Amino acid sequence: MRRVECDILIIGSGAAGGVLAATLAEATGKRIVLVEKGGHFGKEFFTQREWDANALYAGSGARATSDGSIPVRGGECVGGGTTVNIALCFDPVRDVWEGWKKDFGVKGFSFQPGTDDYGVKDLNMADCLAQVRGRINVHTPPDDQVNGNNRVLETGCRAMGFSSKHFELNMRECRQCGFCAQGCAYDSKQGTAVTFIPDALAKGVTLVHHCDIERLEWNKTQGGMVVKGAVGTVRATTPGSRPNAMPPGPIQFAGKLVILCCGAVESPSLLMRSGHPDPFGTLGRGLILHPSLPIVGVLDHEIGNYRGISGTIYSDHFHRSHGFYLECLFSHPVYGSVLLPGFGGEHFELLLKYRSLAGFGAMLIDEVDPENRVVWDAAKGKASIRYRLTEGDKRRMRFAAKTGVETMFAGGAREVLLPSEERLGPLPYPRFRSREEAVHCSELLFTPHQTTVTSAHCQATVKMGEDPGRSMVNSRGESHFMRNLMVCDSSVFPTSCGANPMLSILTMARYQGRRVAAELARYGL
Amino acid sequence: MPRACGVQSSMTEVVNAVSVDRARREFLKTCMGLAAVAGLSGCAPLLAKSRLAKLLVAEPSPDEYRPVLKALLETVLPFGHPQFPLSREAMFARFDALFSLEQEARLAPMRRGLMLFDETSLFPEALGAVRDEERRALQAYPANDPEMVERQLDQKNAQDKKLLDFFLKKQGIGAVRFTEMKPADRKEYLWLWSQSGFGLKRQFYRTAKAVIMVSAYSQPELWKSIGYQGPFPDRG
Repeated sequence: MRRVECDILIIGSGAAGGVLAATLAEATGKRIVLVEKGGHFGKEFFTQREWDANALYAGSGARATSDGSIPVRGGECVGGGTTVNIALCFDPVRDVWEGWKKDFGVKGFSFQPGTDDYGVKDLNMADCLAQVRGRINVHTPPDDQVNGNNRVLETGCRAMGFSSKHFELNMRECRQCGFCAQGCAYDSKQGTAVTFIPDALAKGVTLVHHCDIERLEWNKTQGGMVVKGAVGTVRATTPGSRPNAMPPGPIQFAGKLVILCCGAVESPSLLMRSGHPDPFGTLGRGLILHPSLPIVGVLDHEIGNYRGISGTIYSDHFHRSHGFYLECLFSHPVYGSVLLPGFGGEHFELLLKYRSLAGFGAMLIDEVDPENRVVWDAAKGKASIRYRLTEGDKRRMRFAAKTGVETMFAGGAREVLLPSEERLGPLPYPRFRSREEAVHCSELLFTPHQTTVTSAHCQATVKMGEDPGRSMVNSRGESHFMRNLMVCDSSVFPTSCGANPMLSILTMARYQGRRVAAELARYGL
Repeated sequence: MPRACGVQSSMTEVVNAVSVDRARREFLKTCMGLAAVAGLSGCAPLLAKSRLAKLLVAEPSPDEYRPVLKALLETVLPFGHPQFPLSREAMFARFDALFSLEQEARLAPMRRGLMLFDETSLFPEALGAVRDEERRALQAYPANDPEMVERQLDQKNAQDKKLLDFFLKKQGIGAVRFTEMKPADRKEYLWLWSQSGFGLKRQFYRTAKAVIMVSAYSQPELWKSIGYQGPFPDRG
């Protein structure tokens, strides 16, 4: 078996892993290895064909909850979610982090600029956020880059008296092709694969992709369990991927500090199959998905929808009161045809109006339910994602659906549809011919395999906190039960981070990276 | 465009093969649930004994399941619509290329799933595997005690029976097979599956629709008729 020795082993190269690798490389000069399960694809690989892009997603785009009813989208390639998302940036939501400090005893993460957390000069969320914002070029695109679809949401919100806002996006000289989610063919989207990871590579970090990590390795000492590395297998490189640093075959990584950044499905799975202690049965529990309900409008004229920047307008009008956002996005025909209700001639008639369709999603900030969880299924050799909407979340989702349908009408739609085949009172399925009919949203049951809710923001399965009875890692991201093991990704959020998570993850990774660099002795480095 | 077209297209094939495999697996899973034949014995009194016996033991031949698949494709896609650009033949060929049912032994459950879908009279029956899957879903949350779960399962079977009876009465037909129905009846029968009380049957509808839509709307001929221009010219 090939053996690779390093000081710091980072598993997962998404929003968190890339930032950690770059931050640690720039500040420490330690030997760092960054491991990624997926391939390393560059702009030359991105064909702008939605079916091809499945290669960039977890489970080849087919990852879903265990009953198959809720797609759980996630990037599985170098850059992870930041390679396939649509570049929506929300600063870390301060109230949420302050809440975690109060409710879970989370320490540090000061939002006051100039604060020195852990005695480290300028280690605080404000400064870390400013650093990552600068590197990935977070900015608000000019108003003339708002396409027709986004205008529908903006118009609808104004007519309804809801506030609407321009998204901040991490892009540079966007060509407005509309294929963010298929991987940016122009390196305009500033994901970690074109920012922090090249920075890390330039500083000598070794990137091993196409690598399945089977389990962590650890020693049992008198002082407790200490992680010492990981074993896995490097697969053959997919055609189209950049070359790999390691040849195919079994591989063993030895590292003094191991940091998991595999996301909220794979990080808990890896811990479970590695025999990581879970004395209080909290590992994997309390999964957050941000379930989203697509809302489709049919206008009487063509608009720019699939071309242009996918999401430039959103509304947080109901964020505080009801915990959901309306966020603009649009589907290409394969995904769109699967989502639209029905089949046959009626369905095709809708597709014939493709260029007159508008779309946005109602994204729910879901509540923690310990029954919603990730379980490692050893027999199948993959994670089982068990999730269903709580009754409280269903109530809020019904209200969000009604609000969304009304807003779509107010934006100029003649008809509005939900991706659902549920009968709603007099309606054989949710196809609303007038704004008044939106009232029938109160009958939505969100029956699995009948109404499609989607998700792309898994979080909160390896929770952070100072009480080992309620959390797996402490505020430093260190395992309560295994020394020199950290988790740093969306799974450590104790609850939903309150918005699209990319920037929250990047900021936390920057913060933890700078902290580790200042506390190397803590890990025997 | 000075691009490595050969490399590009072979890459696309590799990627396609991977993701189609996934879609197929999902569809396969639902069919497998339907076709877990153990649950069939002792039910379906409406079905002639010889036909039931055949469903239970015999591996369906292409002559048997292909007509079901064909009827399903013809129901999901509007070949009669003047603006629908694909011929039946082209569409079947495309579907076969993506989801070739014939070749692989492991797709046997999918073939059998289609045969079960064809048998209208099985729709309301208490198929063991379908009920097991539903039971698992209902039991996943501790609030449901076992007795309540069984009661709910019975209600779901009753609901499906009501759905089928209503459909047969409304269409004025007996329990004929899907393949023997008129196109309008086929549409209603397929819709029935989306309305079932059982997740696995709704999933059969969902995934059958999905694999057919995927094989249709990934084709540039269809893009053209709906006004979708596809990739930017420099990526075309």
